[in-house]
Amino acid sequence: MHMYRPSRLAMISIYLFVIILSLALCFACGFGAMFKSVIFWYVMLFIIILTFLVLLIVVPLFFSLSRYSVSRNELICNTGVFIFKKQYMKLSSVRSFTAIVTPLSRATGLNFLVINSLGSQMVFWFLSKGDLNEITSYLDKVLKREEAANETA
Amino acid sequence: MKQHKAIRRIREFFRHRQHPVKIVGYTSKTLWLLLIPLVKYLVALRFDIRSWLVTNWVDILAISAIFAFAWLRWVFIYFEIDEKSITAHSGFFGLAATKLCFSSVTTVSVHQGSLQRLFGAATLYIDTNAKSVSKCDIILVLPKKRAEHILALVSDENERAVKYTVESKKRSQLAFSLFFSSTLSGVIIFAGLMFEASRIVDRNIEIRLLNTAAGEISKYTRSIPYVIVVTALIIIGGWLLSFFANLMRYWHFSVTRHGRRLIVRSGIWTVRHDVMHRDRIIYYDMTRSLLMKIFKICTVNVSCTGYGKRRSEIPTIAPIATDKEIDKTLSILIPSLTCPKAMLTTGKRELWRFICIPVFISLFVPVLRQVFVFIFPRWVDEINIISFIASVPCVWLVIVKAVAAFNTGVGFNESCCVFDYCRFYGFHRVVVNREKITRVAILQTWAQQKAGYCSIQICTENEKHKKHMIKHLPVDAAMSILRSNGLAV
Repeated sequence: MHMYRPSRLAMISIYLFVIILSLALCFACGFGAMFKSVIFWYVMLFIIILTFLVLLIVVPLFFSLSRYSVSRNELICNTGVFIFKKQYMKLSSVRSFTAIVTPLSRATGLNFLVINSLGSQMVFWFLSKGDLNEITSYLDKVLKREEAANETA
Repeated sequence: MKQHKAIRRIREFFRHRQHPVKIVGYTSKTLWLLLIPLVKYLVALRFDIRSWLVTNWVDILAISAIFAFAWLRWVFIYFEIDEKSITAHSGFFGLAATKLCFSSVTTVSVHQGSLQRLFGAATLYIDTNAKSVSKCDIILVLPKKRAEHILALVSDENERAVKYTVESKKRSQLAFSLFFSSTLSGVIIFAGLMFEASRIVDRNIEIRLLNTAAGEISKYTRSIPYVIVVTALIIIGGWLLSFFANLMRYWHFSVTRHGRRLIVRSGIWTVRHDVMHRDRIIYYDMTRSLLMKIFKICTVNVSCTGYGKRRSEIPTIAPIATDKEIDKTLSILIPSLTCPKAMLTTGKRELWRFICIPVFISLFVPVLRQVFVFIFPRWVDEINIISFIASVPCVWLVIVKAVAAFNTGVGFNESCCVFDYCRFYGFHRVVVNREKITRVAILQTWAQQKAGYCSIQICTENEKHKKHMIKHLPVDAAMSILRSNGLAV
């Protein structure tokens, strides 16, 4: 059984993205508060609280709790922040997979793997490029083996 | 001789084409092109005949183009049949060819709408388990006789086997439609109709229609506020619509087991004839509301690729019957799916877990009422009535969830498993072949984790991503059952 965890690079990328986004929004709100209405100060406060919540609770919890494992017979995916979710999928029911590789993913760690079976899906979030390649090559082998078995049958 | 040859060729040409009524169908999608000459016509409204003529030729050209395009599509879409397969050429210029072997077909249906009946046409749908396409594999509009002939060919209706037919009773269908028609579904149908109408005509017309009806009624009921009359009108109208839709859909409903096939016939307005492959039925779902549960009656739906997937269709094989009748029907129609006993159930201990959220929602209604009274003090009467109306479904939900606490569970036997669960206001008993389960998930909130409870989410082979959620089961027991049945590690 191989265990995988979401990439730390992805965590840093998300931190950077959230900080830049909230700074831009705060700047826009400050501009609005000075020239338009006082209500924008409250909006700004809300954005700051939300940003801290995301940065201090949601992101670290997600990255510390998420774990993926690939074994001979099944795929297991542990995720969740407020609701913990442990998913099991038999390898025999996997029909296809989609690897989503974003630009500069080696640096950002923003790689995703969507595993499709009949009537359901499983997503491995924020994998490092190496992990993604390892899992996809394994799944590819499994699918080819199944196809060969079906053909002989 | 030459004449005979020409006639034979023409016949041959028509034999492999769809019904000519399909040309009209193909025009409808491109009718928006008529807007171009219409706009031109508006510009030319200065009553200058010369300019009118100048603009009119565009109209004629556009309309001819629409019909020529539709005719071309009709000519290029054709099908071929041999002993074991059907090939349908579709797409522009018939470039896409879909070939299906009869042995891989899961469902084949012939549906004839009232308009099609006038022209003797019918729509043939053929579906397989090729999951790459969510739409139908083959759709053809054909003369009724030819469609039925292909249906017989595909479904091998000449097979020698004993036929078992189950027909639903008309009285019980009427009672079912009368008591269990859903206002919500009626309102959705009504809203859909209004939306489609507003796309064609104008939104003001539907507002005027609703206002006129409400105005006429409020003449006789002056003491009742206008808003309430409109709400009541929508609710009653929605219910009536749902009632008639149910009646039209399930009148003359019959299911026949013939060899490896299930043949379903139903409907007055749209006559439906569906043939399913029995071995390819993934699961059956006994669905009922609380009222139906009290009266011990239910509806049985099945999940089989292609059956009941079109708009406003329900994949039912028993629209309404008592529990005893349903047991008999299922043992006749789908004997391979035997219902196991529930091994893990919820009860008194989990009662609060089931009802706590609905209780909070129903307590939220009076709070919201107070807030609205504070903001709009002039509208107290209306707010009182609306909050009363809103509290009824909330209280009903509390009752439903309380009953659900005693009707939730999971069970397995050698070949099948059963899930009893409640989703919103509906109770479900799903019996599925174990091999068809594709994904199992254990969900836990923080509170559930502390108390040692969980919810199980189960996905089966299906055309759509459909989840069955069994809530508030003890986590250790649930895990051990799943492990012992090879569904978790």
